[in-house]
Amino acid sequence: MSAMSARMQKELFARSLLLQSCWSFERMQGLGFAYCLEPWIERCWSGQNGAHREAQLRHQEYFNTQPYMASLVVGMVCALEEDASSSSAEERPAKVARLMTLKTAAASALAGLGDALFWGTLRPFCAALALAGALVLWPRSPWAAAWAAGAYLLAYNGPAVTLRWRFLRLGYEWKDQIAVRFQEWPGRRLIKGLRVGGLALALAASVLMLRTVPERQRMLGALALAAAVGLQMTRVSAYRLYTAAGLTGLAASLAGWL
Amino acid sequence: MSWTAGWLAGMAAAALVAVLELDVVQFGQFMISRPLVLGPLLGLLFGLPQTGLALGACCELFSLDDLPVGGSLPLNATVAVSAALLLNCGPRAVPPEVALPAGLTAGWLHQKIETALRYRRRALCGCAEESLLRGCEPRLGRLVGQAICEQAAMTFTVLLACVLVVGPALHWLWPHAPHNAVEALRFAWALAPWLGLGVLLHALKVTP
Repeated sequence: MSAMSARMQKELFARSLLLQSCWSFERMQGLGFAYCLEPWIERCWSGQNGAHREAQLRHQEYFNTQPYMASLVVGMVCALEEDASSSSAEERPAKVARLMTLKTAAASALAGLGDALFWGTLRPFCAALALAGALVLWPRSPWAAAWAAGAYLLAYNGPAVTLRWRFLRLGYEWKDQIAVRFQEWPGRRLIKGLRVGGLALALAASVLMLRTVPERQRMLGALALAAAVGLQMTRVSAYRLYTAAGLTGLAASLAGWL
Repeated sequence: MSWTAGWLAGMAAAALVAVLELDVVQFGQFMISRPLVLGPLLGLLFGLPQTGLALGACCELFSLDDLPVGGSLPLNATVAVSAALLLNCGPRAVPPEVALPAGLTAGWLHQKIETALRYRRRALCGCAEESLLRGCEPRLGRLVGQAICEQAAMTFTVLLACVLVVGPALHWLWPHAPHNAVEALRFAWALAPWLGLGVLLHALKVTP
């Protein structure tokens, strides 16, 4: 029987949205994590002044992970803190040490997966979806802008918010089995599927752009697109590409080609 | 729109963006602050949805390869698109070919100030720890509130500077700008969406 009530889950979820509010280079999300866990620590360690203070202090230490995946770590830490608080005084130090080791390990492992899924895949996918739709609507409707904003928000937040909420409960139920249970999770297949879909949408957006612009700009646009893809492979940032475009324009203007 | 109303609208938009910018790191990450969302929304607010979409799309695509991983703090694309739109739609409007690089510069400046703010936040951790060691409650909620207010105030200041100082200065300078510089900026603006699409295609590359 789960001891985390729906009300507590809501409170932890609301506080987990502020995980990065006190982000600093020294502790990264440490203070935010402690703030998120505050009601749970209060619940587990109430009436044990020294242990309560120690629990608050240990969660203010360095912590960093992908913010959506942090829900899993929060859930796991809740379960392990509960275990530690209900254990005998002799067992407690070992349980607390294990809790801290698991917290750090889970944070690092989940950060890699979360970064690849949310920042590296879902975000570009949503951009491609919003852009392709807006380009279809562009010449006909003034609502292309509203579509872009709405489609991006829905496509991103649908899975992201649902997973954040679910992860909190799953982390609590899985406890120290997160690594084992996550092996069954189709993360890599999901990333690949989203990338293929996003690539198709981005290619469609490129073709639509080519059709939209006047004929004399098409060749230049296609050249710029190819150059950008090529230079991105050599890790030239987009801002440098834009600066280079300005300098090329300046050179062309000075040479009298524009 | 009268001048006074224009300035007031600019300041109100700066205040709105200062709150929405918290979504980047401080609160939620619901992507309301992404340029492709915020650009069109601000554009609709100013009655120029297509400009908002164009500037938003450029900033969104440029910032796609900036991953907020670990301690990296990339150029703030939210501030960049908002500043560009405020410059393009404000009472002393400048064309988008000038507004975009000026907006990107504002985003870069915001990044530098935010870095300093993040170093300063170390004191908040010390404050919380000290309270606990003294046997008092650390009042984490208050520290969280303080950090959020500082961030919003910083964003508002940067955007207000764009509305009150950078906008009028660029508006005055633009007619006197050398012909070659004007052509170069127009050339870069024409290529910006294509460069952005290149970044998007690269970001979505499928590795076996």
